[in-house]
Amino acid sequence: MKALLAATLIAALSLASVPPGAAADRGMEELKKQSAVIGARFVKGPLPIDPSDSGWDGAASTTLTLYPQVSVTPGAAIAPRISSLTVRALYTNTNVALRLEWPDDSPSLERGIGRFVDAMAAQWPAKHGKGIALPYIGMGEPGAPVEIDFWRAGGKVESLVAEGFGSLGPRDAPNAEVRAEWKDGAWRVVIIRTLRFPPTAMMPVAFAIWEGSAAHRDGAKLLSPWSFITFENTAPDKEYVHGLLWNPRGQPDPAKGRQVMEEAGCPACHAYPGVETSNGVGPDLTYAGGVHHPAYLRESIRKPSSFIVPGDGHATMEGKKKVSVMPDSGLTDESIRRIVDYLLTLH
Amino acid sequence: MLNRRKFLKVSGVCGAGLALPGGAMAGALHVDDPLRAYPSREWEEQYRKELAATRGDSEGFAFHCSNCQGNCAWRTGAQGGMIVREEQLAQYPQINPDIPDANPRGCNKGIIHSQAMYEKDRLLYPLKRAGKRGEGKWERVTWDRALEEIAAKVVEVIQKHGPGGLMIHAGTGILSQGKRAGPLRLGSLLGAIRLYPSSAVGDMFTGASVAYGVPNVGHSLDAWFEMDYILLWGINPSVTRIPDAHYLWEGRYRGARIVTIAPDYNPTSIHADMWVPVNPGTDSLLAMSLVNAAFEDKLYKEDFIKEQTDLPFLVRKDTGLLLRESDLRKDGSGDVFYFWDKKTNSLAEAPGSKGSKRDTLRLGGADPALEGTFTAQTRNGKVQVTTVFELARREAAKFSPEDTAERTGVPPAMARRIAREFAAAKKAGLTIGFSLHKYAWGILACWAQALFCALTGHAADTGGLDTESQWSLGGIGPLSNPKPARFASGFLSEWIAGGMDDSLKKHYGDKEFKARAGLDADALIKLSRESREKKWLAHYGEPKARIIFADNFFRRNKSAKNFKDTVLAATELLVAVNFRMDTSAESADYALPSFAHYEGWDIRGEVGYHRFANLVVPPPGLRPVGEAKSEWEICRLLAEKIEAAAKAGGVAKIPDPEFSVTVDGAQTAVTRDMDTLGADFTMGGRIATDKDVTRWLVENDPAFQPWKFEDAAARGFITLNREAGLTSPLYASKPYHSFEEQVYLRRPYPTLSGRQQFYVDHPLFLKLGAAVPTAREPLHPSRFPLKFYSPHTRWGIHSTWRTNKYMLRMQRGEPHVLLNASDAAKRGVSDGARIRVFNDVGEFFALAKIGAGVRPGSLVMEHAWEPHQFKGRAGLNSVVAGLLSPLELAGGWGHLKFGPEWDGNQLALESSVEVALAQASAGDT
Amino acid sequence: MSKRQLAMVIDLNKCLGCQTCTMACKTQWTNRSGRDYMYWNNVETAPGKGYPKMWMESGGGFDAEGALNAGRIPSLENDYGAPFDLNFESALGMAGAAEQGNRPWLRPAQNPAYGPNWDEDEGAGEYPNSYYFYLPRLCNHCSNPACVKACPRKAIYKREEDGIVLVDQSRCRGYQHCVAACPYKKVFFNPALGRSEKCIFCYPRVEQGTAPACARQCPGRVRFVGYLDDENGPVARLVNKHKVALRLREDFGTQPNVYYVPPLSPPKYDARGEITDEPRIPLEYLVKLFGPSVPHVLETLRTEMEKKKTGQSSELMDILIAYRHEEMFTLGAPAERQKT
Repeated sequence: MKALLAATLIAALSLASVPPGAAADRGMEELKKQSAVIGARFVKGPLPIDPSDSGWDGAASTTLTLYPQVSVTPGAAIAPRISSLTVRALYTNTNVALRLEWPDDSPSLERGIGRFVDAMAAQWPAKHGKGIALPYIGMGEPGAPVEIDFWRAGGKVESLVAEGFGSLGPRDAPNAEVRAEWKDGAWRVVIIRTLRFPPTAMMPVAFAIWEGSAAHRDGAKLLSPWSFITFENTAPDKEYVHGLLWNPRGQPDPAKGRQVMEEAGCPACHAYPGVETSNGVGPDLTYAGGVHHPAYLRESIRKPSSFIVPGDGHATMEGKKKVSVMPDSGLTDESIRRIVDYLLTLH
Repeated sequence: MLNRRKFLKVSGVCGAGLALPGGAMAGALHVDDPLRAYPSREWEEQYRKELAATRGDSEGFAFHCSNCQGNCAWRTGAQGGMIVREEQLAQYPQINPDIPDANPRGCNKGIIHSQAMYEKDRLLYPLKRAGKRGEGKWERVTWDRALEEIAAKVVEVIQKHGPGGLMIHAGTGILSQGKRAGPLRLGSLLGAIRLYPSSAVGDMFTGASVAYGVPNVGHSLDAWFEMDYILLWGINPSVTRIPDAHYLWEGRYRGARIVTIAPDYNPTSIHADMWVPVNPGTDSLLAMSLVNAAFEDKLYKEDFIKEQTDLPFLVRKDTGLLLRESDLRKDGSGDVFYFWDKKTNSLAEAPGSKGSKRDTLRLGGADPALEGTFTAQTRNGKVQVTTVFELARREAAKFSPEDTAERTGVPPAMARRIAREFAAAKKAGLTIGFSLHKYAWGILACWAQALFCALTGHAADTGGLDTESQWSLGGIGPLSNPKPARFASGFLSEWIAGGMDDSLKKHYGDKEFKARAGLDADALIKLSRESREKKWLAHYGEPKARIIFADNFFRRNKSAKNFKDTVLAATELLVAVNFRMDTSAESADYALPSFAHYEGWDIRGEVGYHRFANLVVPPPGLRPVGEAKSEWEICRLLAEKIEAAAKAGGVAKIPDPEFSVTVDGAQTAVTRDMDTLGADFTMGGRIATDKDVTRWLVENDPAFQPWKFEDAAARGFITLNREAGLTSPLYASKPYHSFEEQVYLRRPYPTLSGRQQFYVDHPLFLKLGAAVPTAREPLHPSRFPLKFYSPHTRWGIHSTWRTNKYMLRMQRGEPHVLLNASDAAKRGVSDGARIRVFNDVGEFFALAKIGAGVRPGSLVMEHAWEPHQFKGRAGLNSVVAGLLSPLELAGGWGHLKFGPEWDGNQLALESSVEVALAQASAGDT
Repeated sequence: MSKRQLAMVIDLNKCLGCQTCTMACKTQWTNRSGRDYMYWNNVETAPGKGYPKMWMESGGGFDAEGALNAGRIPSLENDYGAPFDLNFESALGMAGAAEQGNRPWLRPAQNPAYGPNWDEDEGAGEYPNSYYFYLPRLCNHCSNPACVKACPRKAIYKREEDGIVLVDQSRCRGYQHCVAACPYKKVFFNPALGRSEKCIFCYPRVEQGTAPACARQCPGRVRFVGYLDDENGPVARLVNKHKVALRLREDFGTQPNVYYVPPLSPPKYDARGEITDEPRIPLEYLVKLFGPSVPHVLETLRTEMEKKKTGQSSELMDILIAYRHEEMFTLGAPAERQKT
């Protein structure tokens, strides 16, 4: 596990092609192009837990795109609907508050036999910082845990931790509070949790939404890619920002990437637009660009066994070790870069 | 009201299930292969805690003493003074390694009693009627006040009308020796009227009484395991003998052939080797066809019937009467009879009859003739005589399988095959259920079945007729019957009390009935008067005050509405003692809460299905529900209040010269000692509680020896000893069979002839052409196309448990009837439809259910739904007419004298109905 | 695979349909905590719709390639039947004065649309050739459980020591994939607790050496419980040696560990009303349920019954008779269990 982590770290470090010390502004601008950045506003008083509180009016809103989770079954069965999520953020020296808002014509409030409720989760990397790769978007991965604040309509917030699909468990010290209201065709949910003020002055977060009326639960959900909260009056660590960037100066050539994929035989196992593959051997890539961080995509191609998406047939056992069924590609770094360029267009 | 949920939560049963076990898992958890190993199993403690909670922290023993003969030993567990669950004890010892043991016993009802006893129909406090009778308005009163008011009325009634103005009746809701002791003792001290419950509910095996002198004959049910051939006739043991039915199917594996005879394809038929679908009510015809086949195909065992039956007895051809000693000599006995000895070619006195000086059935060197006509020299000249055998065979000749096939629906070849196979089997048993005698001709069917068993020589441990075996519990009399009570015929008293002649005339007052019954409705009503005037059956008039323990008489009685109205009009005081608000308690003036099955000490041991007497030992610390009390305590307190009220009114001892008791060898007229009633009731304070009662019973019943009370209470049951057998010893390692003393030791049967009796020259039997076993067509009026019958249900013991939600959830929540698909289609009725069932007696509403096993032309409804479960509180007995079986009105003859061995039946299954889709009205759906 | 497998054999030729097992289970586990609607153990009349309604047609299990089949989650009202209470207060009026006049009769507070025994004893066939039998059902504690396969959290597992399949109540998050995936529809969602629950084979009892409630408390003595590798136990002998105990719907692919001795039935009548030699339950129906060896098993039963009848010995009949109740259960001493 440790070796794996180390490999990921190195990969993340080498990803940054901008040398450290470059202008922070340009880094942030680039990051804003590549990822969603949520600006949190500082407040002195208590953070407003009420979604209708006027205190929210002053917070800037950021809109995120949500994608169906299709990498892992049973999420694959979910209807491919895309929704958007509006996020506002406030913070104090000890806490951060997010207000999430998304449209929902018919709220599902009662959980029952064959009946599922609307739900929301915010996911935070347990560790982040310079040289630390973001955990796999799908609930982290072994060695790279995520903390999850999970709210289900009609229920209280659950403070959870996960190291990959299926590993979800309770967090030792719950540290979040949620209040939700459904009004005028939309959910507005406020989540307040302790702020462990990051040394990077920037905090990765990802969100997931479940629509009860569509029988969403478990991996059947809509999810956002990793986004980043910045804090008013605090400059993000430049080095960290640059470490997150993908190919900021290169010219992306998605067409070339698609071609490389065909030549490398990727369609044999993976589904992506224009490829009709349903054997499920490899994870579905339909929304790869929307959901995944480029570093993850690149590493997955370079060393398929470094992280294996859970699911049938993705891996075989070699002794006691799980090994991806995807062969080491032997592709050049350049080819891999082109493939990632292409995958990042898949939204 | 008790809140079980709240209780469970407090006790932790619920809590254990709700709380996520702390510390079971903190942090993320990876599971590799859950089919191989699982890393986090601390949570499993959760269900372990739940199991512990359902066992509670104190334990007791129990059985369920309602009108169920199962009598099964249970272990009860209590937590915080409340029962949390029960489970079968399952510790009965195996009596013989070659016979399966009796464990675990029990059924679906017993197992949920812990839930039912806390249900919202539980009577918690003494209630006094606050509105009109049956209106459902109650005032909670103290025990003191309720009993004082009741006592005052009792004294008033006795002063005004004598002891016969009072009825104290223990119904079939409590059948244990412990629970019945109180009401029986109080009633017997006061000389109150008491009905014979078995008769009132139609559970008398009158056909067996005619044949054997006792209604309850047969074997313990483990004997099924040793049978080679088992005929189950009108009995559905998979439903009604749940604890013992395994002996049938295990017996089948051992080698028994099992044949069921029933109108419907029922849960017992499904496992049988053959099911014989019979037309409802035609059992006497089929039974006579078996008798016919036994005669015609010469299946009879001559040696057996010559010695064990009256078949060789001689009958005068001129009068149809048995040839008696009084025919031969002026001072001769009317109870001595004759056969024709082929050895000496002369009359020979039959040994063993009631009047015989020879107390044996041994024939010596004689060889009784079975066939032929002979001449006997009487004191009035020569008369032609013939044998009962000849007469019985001649009667049976009218009912060949070919002749009856169309009416019974049974193919002739099958009837002959059954007769042949039964006769050939080494050990063949014929078990009948309680349903047969709820038809008018059950008495005939059963008598013919007895004849069939006799002809084929099956008796004692080679099988024979099995009605319901019971043990002999001697020594109880001084506790429960210290003085004679007014013991009255059950069926006749209720028929009269409820004015049932009205429905009899309505439903049966036509020529069809007369042609089938042999008399018309008016003549039958007249006969009922004659029967009580001649004291063939005992009847003491209508009581003014009725104190009823656990008897749902307004549910049970026929022509229900008329019965209820008539009884209520004649009753000045109606007290219902019960653990729950049943339909009858609903109409009472006072409803008094008694213990349910687990709350008081008790013992029950008379049920002859198995050899174990079970105890109720309440778990230490158990709290009774509300202010419920034991039956004994209620009676004790009432006795004290009556004594006080009597003293206050200047009443001391009331002579009751109708009865006498033997005191120091001398007959003494009975007095009802109102002034010492309290002390008399407790035997001078010796028996104050239900526990004392149980102790007394253990110590005083010879069949319980050598068990000590403490040992019995520690084990939960007693194994009965040899003394429990009535007509055979109860051997330690063999199933019980009636009549071993008769068959092997040649001791006489308790009949007039001293033998199995197949000739009855009672004038009524002669008049109705039933001096020998015969058959009649059923009496269902053909004006209504569906024969209505209501067999026992697996979902209740009569009305007990019938309204329990756990039982109802396993049905459809409301009363339903079963129809064959063709009958339903003809009436546009589909499964689940709400229908009206009606005839000229009344109507009720129920849901329709379509069953493939229901015989076309019949409507089946499992019995004993509470009337308050029906629209308008009109239960299924709304359409059942009050019919009497004329032969059961006989009495005063030989062994057919009123008492526990001879009383008739209320008939439940002989009415016809029509059904139609119900008009939906507000509140129906 | 677990190291040992506890299994149950249910003899359908002895089953009374009395539902004591159902009630034993109910009071042991499911009369509380949101489980009221559940019948971990039920007995249904076959043929019939069963419980939950039409479970056999509700999908789940595995296809020929071993992939999960889609399954549906039954509905509370229409498939399980909602657990109604009765209107005691208004019908009996004991607590206080009842309303004048319009006193309702005692009945369910809500009209039931279905229930666990809705088509009790209805059966099929034309009178007098009607037929049915009782089919007790519980979780099969399968060797290849579809519920385990369907659970994305791997919160369902087989215990190594006895093969009992459990839903980890601390990790289940109520996704209900297992409910849909079980082809026997024997996993239930607990709406009050938000977790799935099912028959636990009474493991807390088994651990104490006591048979599961449904088995020990069965007055018909139809259920044998023991380890499949215990060659001398009745279960292994019925399943492996005499091969008369068959799996229900083996074609679902889950490898159940509850086995059934298939039912014999009384002979049919021909058109003239005469008895025939033909059993009344259609063979093809039994084959559909219990597989192609049904005819052979029924023949074995008949042959062995005949042997016993004619005084020869039959080990098979002696096992099925079950002379001693306690010997139907071979659970081993608790200490012995822990060693395994």
